[in-house]
Amino acid sequence: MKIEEMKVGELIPYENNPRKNDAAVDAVAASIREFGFKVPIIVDKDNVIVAGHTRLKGAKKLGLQTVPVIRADDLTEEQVKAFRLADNKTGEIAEWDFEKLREEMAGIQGVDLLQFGFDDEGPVNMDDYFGEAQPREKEPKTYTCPYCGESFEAWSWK
Amino acid sequence: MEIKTMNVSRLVPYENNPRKNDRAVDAVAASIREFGFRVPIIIDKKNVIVAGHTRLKAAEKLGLKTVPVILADDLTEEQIKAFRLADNKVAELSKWDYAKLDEELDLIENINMEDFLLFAAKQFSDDDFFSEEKEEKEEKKTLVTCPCCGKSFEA
Repeated sequence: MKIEEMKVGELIPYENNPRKNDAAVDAVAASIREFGFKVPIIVDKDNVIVAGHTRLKGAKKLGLQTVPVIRADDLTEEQVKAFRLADNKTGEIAEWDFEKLREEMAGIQGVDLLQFGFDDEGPVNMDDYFGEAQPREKEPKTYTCPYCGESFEAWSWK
Repeated sequence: MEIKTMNVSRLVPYENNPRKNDRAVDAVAASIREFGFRVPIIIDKKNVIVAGHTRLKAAEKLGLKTVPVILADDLTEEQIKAFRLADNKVAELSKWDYAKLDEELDLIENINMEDFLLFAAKQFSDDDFFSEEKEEKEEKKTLVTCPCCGKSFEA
């Protein structure tokens, strides 16, 4: 396995890339500017991108002339299609450990983490929102009886 | 930038890695088995992992002796910490185009995509979930008894 430096103009985005990545480009560009281009783009034998569409957009935005590339030319066309999906999907499965994330964020003073999509108020644990359901409360409501026409108030669950 | 091949046992997981990745190991292992180890692990100058904790676990699970690594030795300790977070965070900002995902899945016949937890999205778009939830809410009715005539009705 080796890395080639390729001109950004030679890389071809996959025509049916099933990722909507425009919202990620600024953050990825910020990461490349801050840390360098660390993870090479994976391309197939025809220079079509297998993994790294957002990084290519980020590189273009930064005006980079070349990017590091790893060629996956031993995969069949079907494997390339499948890997393009699998690589994105498997990256979605892991989750944040919010306690550790808070610790890590607290230890970083000299790098602005907001530019990578982190929130101003620190990590939010979604369990805080979607954890145990709150007990429901009763509230009075006005009903009209369909039989005798009487209007009355009754307490019902919200 | 160059890729080195390193013994799995020499790689050091970061002690405070803020990712819970145990559930991802099987899918990542399936991906490495099917497609090979394609994306090198990023490590710092002490061989501590910056990006690739799940891939290391998967490689161990598959019994691989070595993995490809890229050494990020030009970054400060603080940059390493920040990149470890940023690399995971920016990956969250893209979303699936479910119509295109379905088209792609339809074209794959010889690889079991469920190994990577990929299922045709046709049945599972977010809109379906939200509209179903709405219907449920609307259907929720209470049984009320009229204090005047004593008859019960749904409202």
